Amino acid sequence: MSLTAPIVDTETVLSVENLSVYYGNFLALKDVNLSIPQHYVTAFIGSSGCGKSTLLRCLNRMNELIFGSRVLGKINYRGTDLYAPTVDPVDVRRQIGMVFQKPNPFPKSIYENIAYPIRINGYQGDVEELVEQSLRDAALWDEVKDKLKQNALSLSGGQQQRLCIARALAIEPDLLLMDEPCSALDPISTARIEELIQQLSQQYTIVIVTHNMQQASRVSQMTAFFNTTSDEAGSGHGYLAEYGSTEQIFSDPAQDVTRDYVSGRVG
Amino acid sequence: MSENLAVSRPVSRWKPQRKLSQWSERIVYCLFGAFALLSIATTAGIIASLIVEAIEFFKVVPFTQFLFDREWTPLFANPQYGVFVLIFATLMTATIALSVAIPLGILSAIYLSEYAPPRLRRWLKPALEILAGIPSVVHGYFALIFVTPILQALIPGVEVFNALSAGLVMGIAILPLVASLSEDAIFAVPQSLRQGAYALGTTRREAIQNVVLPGALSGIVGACILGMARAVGETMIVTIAAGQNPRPINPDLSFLDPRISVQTMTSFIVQVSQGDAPVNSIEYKTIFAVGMTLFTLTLLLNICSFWFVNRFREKYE
Ligand SMILES: Nc1ncnc2c1ncn2[C@@H]1O[C@H](COP(=O)(O)OP(=O)(O)OP(=O)(O)O)[C@@H](O)[C@H]1O
Ligand SMILES: [Mg+2]
Repeated sequence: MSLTAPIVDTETVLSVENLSVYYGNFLALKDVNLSIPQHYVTAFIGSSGCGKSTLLRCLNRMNELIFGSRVLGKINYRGTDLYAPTVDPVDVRRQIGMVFQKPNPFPKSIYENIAYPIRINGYQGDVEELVEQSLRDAALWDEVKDKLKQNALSLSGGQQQRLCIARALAIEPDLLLMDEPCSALDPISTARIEELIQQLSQQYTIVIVTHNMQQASRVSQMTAFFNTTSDEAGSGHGYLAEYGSTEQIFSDPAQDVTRDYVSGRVG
Repeated sequence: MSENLAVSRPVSRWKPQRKLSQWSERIVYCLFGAFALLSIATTAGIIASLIVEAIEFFKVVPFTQFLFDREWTPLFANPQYGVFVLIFATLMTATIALSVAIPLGILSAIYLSEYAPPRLRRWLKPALEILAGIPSVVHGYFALIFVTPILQALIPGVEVFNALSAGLVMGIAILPLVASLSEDAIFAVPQSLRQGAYALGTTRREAIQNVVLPGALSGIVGACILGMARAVGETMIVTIAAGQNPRPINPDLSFLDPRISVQTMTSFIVQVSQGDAPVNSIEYKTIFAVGMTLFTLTLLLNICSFWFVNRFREKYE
């Protein structure tokens, strides 16, 4: 996948500056600096435990729901400091949606799963129309249009995940965060969601965490590779090792660790 | 078969003690089965004795009289057996108790599981459960000596023994049960659902109201019904604080006045058992008729609870 435009030309949605995250006294992630360009898919890759989910959760302030977590540094979202005391985390999450690793539809009807966030956020237009539109955007409409009243948990895992994506899209987020959205899915569902991500990237800005190198290279234009330091105590912290265009990270990485990781030679 | 398997393993470094564990397995199975059977047999025995004595009672007192008499005076020379006198008193004290226990119980459950910091929760939850272990006789005297005088100062016409005081304190007594069970139900709602709600821009209140509570609803209702069963069967508090005054069922509904003394099913049973009603006298048999009624009521409530929890349980997976 080649870049359609040089990176410098796009607007930056979000920029992370010197971000460190603690869980209690444990430093999980240290000094991250990166910026997320608009209408791009940015992939976070790296071995388990290096802080990808942690960083993702910081981007929409979900991390503060975890007891004992502490965020240092700055995140700028379209010119405003995301962590400024005047900023309401509810507004942040309203703008920056999230899809989780495990599908987590509400135990309500398929329709209600989508209509609920629409209503709760005070949508003024036709709710039913927007529900249909969201389901179409998530490539799920044809499969569920005849059973909207059914419980969402009766859907297959892949359908549930697309429902969760539809739910996130329904409130028209500016930025969509996805934490390993395909890890619980079969190859066919995965392919559908990857296709979906590519379509969505024309309208939305997406950040996706993935362990699947092919997936990262297929869907993303930017890739951030995270790594863990191994200090003498054995409890290393995560850090951003390298960030650049996906093409560069996969074909010509600047660092050896990145090359080893993307080529599957992880030491 | 098993011998073949053993032979096929050339190295004999593995020698599981299958014989011994098979035996202990069997012994444990029989032992636990026996205990389970014992508890079932005990329950069956209790029910049987209740039924047998109740039948004896209904040989003397017709069932219609039991249901439709307007007074409850089994110890008088000209006895009347309107059991609804006791049922209404029971339901009144139970209703007062539940109007305390259910709202406070659910609110404290929501606080504990959703708002309290984990450290506080670790302390409060066991404290709540200890509260549930306070003997009800303590509650009874608390009602009589502490709560009743306060009520008398606040509300005109409150008697020394009254349904209100007993009901309120009974509410406090069953509050920990309702709170603790509701909290379990709320806490069991998967964290992923809460995160899903928050990620959609819901406030904490909205997430609780629209996602967490519906998910926990069946458990909470189950907790409330169990609390109701406890309130209906509660004995000590009503005996001590509500007195022994069966109010005739009059059209002016004066029997529903919570300020005065009433007699519940349980406190009637205590009253008769404390006196020396000779075995096989009609007074003696009344206990079983009332006991049977009480048992039926609580059984119905438990069935309701069971049905409700199963019917409305939301599956998360
Ligand atoms: N809620 C938490 N409380 C304490 N420590 C946590 C918590 N969540 C994550 N951590 C720690 O922070 C570090 C980073 O975790 P994180 O989940 O961000 O890793 P990850 O890169 O997403 O890993 P994976 O690829 O396995 O999902 C880990 O060492 C983990 O143990
Ligand atoms: Mg993760």
